[in-house]
Amino acid sequence: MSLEYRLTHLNLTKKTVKNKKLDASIIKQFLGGRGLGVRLYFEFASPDIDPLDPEAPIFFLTGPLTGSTGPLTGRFHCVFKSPLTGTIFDSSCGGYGGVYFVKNGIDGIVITGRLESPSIIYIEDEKISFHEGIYLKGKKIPERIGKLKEKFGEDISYIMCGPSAERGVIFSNLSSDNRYFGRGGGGLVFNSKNLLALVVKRREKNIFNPFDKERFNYVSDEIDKWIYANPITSQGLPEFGTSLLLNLINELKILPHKNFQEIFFEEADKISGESLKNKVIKKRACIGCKIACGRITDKGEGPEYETLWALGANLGISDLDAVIEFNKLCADYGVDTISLGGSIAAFLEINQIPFGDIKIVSELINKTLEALDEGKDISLGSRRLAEKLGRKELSMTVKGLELPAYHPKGIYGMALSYGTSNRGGCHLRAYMLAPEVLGIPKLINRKMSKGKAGIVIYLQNSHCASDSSIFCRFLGLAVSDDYLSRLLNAYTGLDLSTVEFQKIGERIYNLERIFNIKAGFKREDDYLPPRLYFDEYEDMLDEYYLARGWDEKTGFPKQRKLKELGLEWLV
Amino acid sequence: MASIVKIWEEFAKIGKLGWQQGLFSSHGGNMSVKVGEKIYITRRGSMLGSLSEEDIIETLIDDIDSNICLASTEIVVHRAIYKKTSALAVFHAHPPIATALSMECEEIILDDSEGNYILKKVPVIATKRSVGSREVADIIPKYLQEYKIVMLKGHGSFSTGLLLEEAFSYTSTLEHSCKIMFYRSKGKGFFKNSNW
Repeated sequence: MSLEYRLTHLNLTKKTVKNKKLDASIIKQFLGGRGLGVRLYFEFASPDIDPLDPEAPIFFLTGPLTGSTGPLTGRFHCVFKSPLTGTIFDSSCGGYGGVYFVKNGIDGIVITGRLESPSIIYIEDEKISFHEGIYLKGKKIPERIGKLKEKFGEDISYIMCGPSAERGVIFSNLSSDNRYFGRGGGGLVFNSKNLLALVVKRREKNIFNPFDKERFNYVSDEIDKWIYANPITSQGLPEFGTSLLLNLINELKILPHKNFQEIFFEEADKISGESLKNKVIKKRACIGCKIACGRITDKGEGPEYETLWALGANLGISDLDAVIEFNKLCADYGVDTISLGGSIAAFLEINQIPFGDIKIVSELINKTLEALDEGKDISLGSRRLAEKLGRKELSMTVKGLELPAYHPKGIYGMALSYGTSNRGGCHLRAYMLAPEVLGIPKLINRKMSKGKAGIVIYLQNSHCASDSSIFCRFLGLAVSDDYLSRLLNAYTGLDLSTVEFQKIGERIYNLERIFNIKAGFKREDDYLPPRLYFDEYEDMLDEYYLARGWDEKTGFPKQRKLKELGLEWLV
Repeated sequence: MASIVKIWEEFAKIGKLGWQQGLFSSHGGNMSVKVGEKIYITRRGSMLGSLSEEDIIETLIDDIDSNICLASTEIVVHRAIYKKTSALAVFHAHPPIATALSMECEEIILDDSEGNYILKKVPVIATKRSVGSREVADIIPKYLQEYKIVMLKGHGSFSTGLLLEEAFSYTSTLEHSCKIMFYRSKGKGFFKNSNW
């Protein structure tokens, strides 16, 4: 394949479509997906733009390996400025949409402007057309899918927001073939453009075009061998999906409970992977994936581990059927389950409402999805909710993003990765679960602080490069970086050493950081909520800034670092 | 809880002895014991010569639970052995001389007194994939119904016993006997494809 990247710019205000081929040099520096998104954002808008301004762009970007048939490469990314956090935000989605973009001759789409009336965009064979979408308004996602299939046929992939986005729920997400661009409020940005759905025809076309087929097949086979040999990727995830973590994390006493007041949930087993297994009727995999972590119950896709925790353990709910029902509601309305659960947990604690009452939680979820009554406040997200109610210290967020299912006081590397994550409190940026819990590559002491910064930085950089190549995070559980760069090289003709692969990741991480600083973020935003703070954190943060080559006070990358990464144009 | 503490101490003792005898590298090898429906197995990537309590992972024989993501890569083989043999303990190592020899032959015949008395001969099995492999899991138990220890060509040994110490002893015996063979040959002709 060539390094050519076909970017389509849709200006909705003018209803214009411009196709552009990006220069190979930008791909060599940022690869695709997440990395390309943050780089291109600077071309389309300033970091201080209002995320819901019509001119704020939203990107859907594949990577160089999307559609390559390489192991765990069937993904694509959505990049936007988050209305929830105010940071640059990337969200990764599996399913099929990305592959069908490429099969229709489009590697990436950037959308700016705003349509006059609610509309649908349809893509088929490189042709893009606008269609009236008013008939989808107010309808739940399954009904929207049905309507789209009636109009465009059964063989489509789609990206759409749900009715919660229309009601202004800040953590509204985007649904794509029953998978999600889950976090950060991408649904709200999408909806702000009067866009209801982006539909792409499922065109059958062979796009497999490796630079070195023999090498590509060899590295793919080697990766498959490790996936096959690793009990997590060959047994645990295929058997339980991500829910396998629930009992494990609870036993380690790092499962947040009652808005992070506690670290253990006595009844966790009732909503664990082992219990969910009995409700699963089908497994589901993304294109090119042998793991198949997707779980389908009679209520639809999921729930995943984070949802079992956010709408279960953290709220004191141990009724699995109730959590499955909550998950379905979120899927129908299009909201991020972690942010919804985190916001409700804050609401319960602030108002001293007992945790564990299914009826109360169910009512709050329904009201939040519709943004009605007290649900209107919850739909602002945990941070704005807590500030409004005068108890901002009870919001378990970093940079406004609701924290996920690992209690940072018992897992220090994860704590630092929450604090320094460029998209707010997120577990996936460094995925310290791997070395601190799963022992990948080797088990390290969870409560060791000194030296953790180096590992966090290595993994943050590595995952930037991996994301931008378009690998699934789970591949990193089976193989190390060198396999990823070798597969990328074989497919694209790039000749990246593992060090150069890492350097691309570092460039992306620093660019995201600069975006955030230009958007107004400071060192103070790299801290955890008071409840989750621990003495060693300050030293860890200092060590992190030093190792990153960032100014200790402002957190801005130093001149030398910018030059090293080819980012001096930003100053 | 008390029984678990006892188990990990036994693992630590055997692991340390195995490492001292050079039966595996710093992070190589793994071992397990069967207790009822459960297996206690070493953590993936743990150092057998320096085991602590959290390096022993409790999981199930017949069913997969969430601890599978912490267990040794070879859990699939251990499970298969417990399902198809009467073993209560499994010891997997990479004894260097026996492993080198396994790459040269289809069975290892031990002719020193102790080796011949205890093991007599050890089958060598060749598979396409030898690490954490279902192919290995399918084949190995059949041999372990008749032999105390088997060699995977170019990889290492799997031995079984009623006790961990017993399984360990067969590996120790095999490697010791292979050393004797090597010394006796003064290196000459020991490995067909080398200059020894």
